[in-house]
Amino acid sequence: MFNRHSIKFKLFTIVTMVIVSFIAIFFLFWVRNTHHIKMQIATSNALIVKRSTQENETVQKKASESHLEEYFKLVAQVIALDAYNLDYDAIQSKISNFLNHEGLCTLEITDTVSQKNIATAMRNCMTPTILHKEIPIFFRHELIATLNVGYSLEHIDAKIKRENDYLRAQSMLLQESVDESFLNYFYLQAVVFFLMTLGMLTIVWYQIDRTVVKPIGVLLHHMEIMDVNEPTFSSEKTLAFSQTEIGQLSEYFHKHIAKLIAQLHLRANYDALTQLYSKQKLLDDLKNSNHHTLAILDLENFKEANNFFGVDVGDAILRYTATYLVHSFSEPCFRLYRLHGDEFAIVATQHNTFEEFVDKLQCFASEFSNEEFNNDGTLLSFGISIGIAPIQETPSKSMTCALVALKHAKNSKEPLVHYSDELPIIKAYEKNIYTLNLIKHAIKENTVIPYFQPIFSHKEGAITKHEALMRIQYKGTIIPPLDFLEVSKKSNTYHHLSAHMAMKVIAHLKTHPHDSIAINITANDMIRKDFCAWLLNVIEQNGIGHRMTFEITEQEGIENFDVVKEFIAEAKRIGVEIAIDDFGSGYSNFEHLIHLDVNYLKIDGSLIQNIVTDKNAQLIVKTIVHFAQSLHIKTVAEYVSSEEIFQYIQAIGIDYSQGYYIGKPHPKTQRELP
Amino acid sequence: MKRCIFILTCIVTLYGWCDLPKRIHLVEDPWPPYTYGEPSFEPTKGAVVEVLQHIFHTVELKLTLHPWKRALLLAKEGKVDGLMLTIETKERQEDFIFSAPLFYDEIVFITRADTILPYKGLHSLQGLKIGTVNGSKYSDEFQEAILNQQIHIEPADEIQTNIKKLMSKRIDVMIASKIAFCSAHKELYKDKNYTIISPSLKKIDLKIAITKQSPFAKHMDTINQEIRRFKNDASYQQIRQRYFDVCSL
Repeated sequence: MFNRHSIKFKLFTIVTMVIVSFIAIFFLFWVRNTHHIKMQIATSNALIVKRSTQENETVQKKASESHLEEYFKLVAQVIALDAYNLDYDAIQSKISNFLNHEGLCTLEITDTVSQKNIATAMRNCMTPTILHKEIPIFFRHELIATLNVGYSLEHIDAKIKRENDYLRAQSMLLQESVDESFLNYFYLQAVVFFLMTLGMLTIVWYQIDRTVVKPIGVLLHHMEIMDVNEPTFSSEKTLAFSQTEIGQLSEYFHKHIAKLIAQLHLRANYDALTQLYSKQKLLDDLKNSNHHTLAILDLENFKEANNFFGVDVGDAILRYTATYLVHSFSEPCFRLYRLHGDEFAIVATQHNTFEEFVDKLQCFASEFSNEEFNNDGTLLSFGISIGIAPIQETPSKSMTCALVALKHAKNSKEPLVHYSDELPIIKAYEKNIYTLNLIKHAIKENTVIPYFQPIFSHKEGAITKHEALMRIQYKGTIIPPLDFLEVSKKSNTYHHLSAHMAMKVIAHLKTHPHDSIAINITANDMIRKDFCAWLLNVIEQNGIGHRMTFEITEQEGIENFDVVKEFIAEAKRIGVEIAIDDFGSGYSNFEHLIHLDVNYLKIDGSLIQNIVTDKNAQLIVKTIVHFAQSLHIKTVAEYVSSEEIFQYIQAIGIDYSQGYYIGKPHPKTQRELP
Repeated sequence: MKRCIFILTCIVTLYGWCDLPKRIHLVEDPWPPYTYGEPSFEPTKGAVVEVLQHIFHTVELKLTLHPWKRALLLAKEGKVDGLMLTIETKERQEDFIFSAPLFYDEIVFITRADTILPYKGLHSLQGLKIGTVNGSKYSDEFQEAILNQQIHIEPADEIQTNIKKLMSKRIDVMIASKIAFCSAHKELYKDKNYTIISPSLKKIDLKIAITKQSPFAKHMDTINQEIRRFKNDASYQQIRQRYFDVCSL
């Protein structure tokens, strides 16, 4: 009946629980009070019965005794004359008759003068307790005899017991009647409370349904039936709720939210600049199996024109391109989209064959390339790269395939490329993924190992230190850095490799006290403060700073020199020497030597490997050496691969040599030339 | 000589009275004309009352009327000094000492005036209803006849009841002392509507009975002397005339 996550269900549950709880508590209190009243009635009844029986017993006994006493006095009066006359026969006759009175057991008349019984009447009372009383018999104020009475109150007790039993029976009947009434009352209460609960639930639920649930339902219904492209609302049903918050919300929704939603849909589905469909719309449409091919188009040289002529011109170019596209693909079987920047997309439906679509695209590419865009008299023309792909299982996969094809088209300078699993870029992607998995495995399994390449000191004529080069050991093979370095840097995993490498080198130095090792530190490593702090701390704790050299690579990546200078200062404080790697290549320049207080310059291998024959290289290297010597910086020549190179660089005053002539990278350090 | 005897008698009498206790209590039942009054009270008048007042003029005399049985019981039990007036019988001699006779009377049968009863002894009364007074013993012969059921008696509480019953024909004959009957009848009826049957059943001497426990018992001689003296006095005759004239005794 209800969706259990709906407001209707939750409100109903809460309201029902509250009302039922309230009614239940109220009912319990009511029942408790009723029970209390019943108990009070029972207690009062019992008390009344107890008092009544006690009072009845007292009164009855008292009355009985009083009555008997009166009776005894009457007997005394009646027989007084006879006693006075000593008429024994008359007395005997009378007291025998008097003995018939209930409770009397014996009557004896004792003459006062003779102290003799002058008459006796007796009846067997069969009671264990016989009370005795003496009643004086007077005749004209003269005590003439004594009436000795033996009597029993057993009959009174029996009578009292009967009366009290009757009273108790009546009380029990009354209590039973009260209990029955209360039971009936309890059922009545239960029915009343049940009806009350139902009534309250009905009323409250009717109110909630009328004021909350229905308006929300109507609102939801309106939202469901709303055409996002053209939202219109009927306010008739919401008029009834206009006084409530929901009504106001509905009204507000009608006035503002719906328009905003419509605008949002408009912006999501349409590109504001070109009025073509948006990328979001493309993704939605790609879910429709009615399409068969996706083509993504990219304007060549658009970025340059945009940067050169400004955004307005760039926008005009894009509008121009869109208009051209609309004219070229005006048939209903095509849908045009602008993705972002200078990328457009076209989707072909089943009404058009793949070959026709490809032909049309090639024709468009050819025509558009020949068209010229007039920018205030400057004629601009743009090539088109197109990647096409059949519609895949998911929109994102379709997009990916088309973009891969487009990228290949741009790389290969071909105007149109069909997506195929055999495209080289696909192989590159696969290799990158393989390499990334290899890096992750190395980090996880700690298979990063250092290979040590010796550095020969010309001054000392011996190998004085080594450069630690990173290798990954994977399934029995050693992977050189060339195969994973770029991927690791782009996948932001290089610092993990650096950390592992540093740990291994530090471990080596701890076990080889005569070795000096240089490790590579990138700009990316140096800006990681936690890594730097950890590295310097470990080096300082192990006292190996004087045997370590940090070779700073990729100086062109250094953006914050203050951080690097701070790191170098801290490293030098603990004895570590600093070297500039690959000096003379790329953007490496003399400015770094001024800003950074370094100990060594490692001259780039590209200058050394042809130095014997290349005059320019000789000039540059001599200049570098002269410059370094002026700043008291020692120089290291890389790529020293032959004895000629070795002899030459020694001759021009380079301090150290490193290369295959000196020694190849090896898992272990070496002290002598091979 | 007579003077000497008289003086001597006076001396002896005075001596005797001087020795008497100071107070005597005698009881009797209402028995007109000897005693008048209500039971448990002092007699208002009566022949014996006046006689006793004369006889016991030197002591404090207390007289009380009770039903006869009670009076007799009180006296027997020694609660009082004696009876004012009674008949001496053998049974009573065990408890009492009797004085010299104060009065003479007869036990007679009385019938209504319109009834003729040829009386020839108690047996001639067989089959008749004889009214008696409770507690009264008229003679040994009469008591024996009652015990032998030779005669049928119907007791009443007092003599007046028997007179009424006789006059209303509820009994045939009644027995009573002659003086008491006459006195009682005079109180009830103006006319003489009765017949006293002759001969009388018994002639009786009425005496003072002093209980043996009473201190007056040992002074009976003194009392008898005083009785004899008083009977010789003119006052005695006056008393008799005043109370007994109704029966012309």
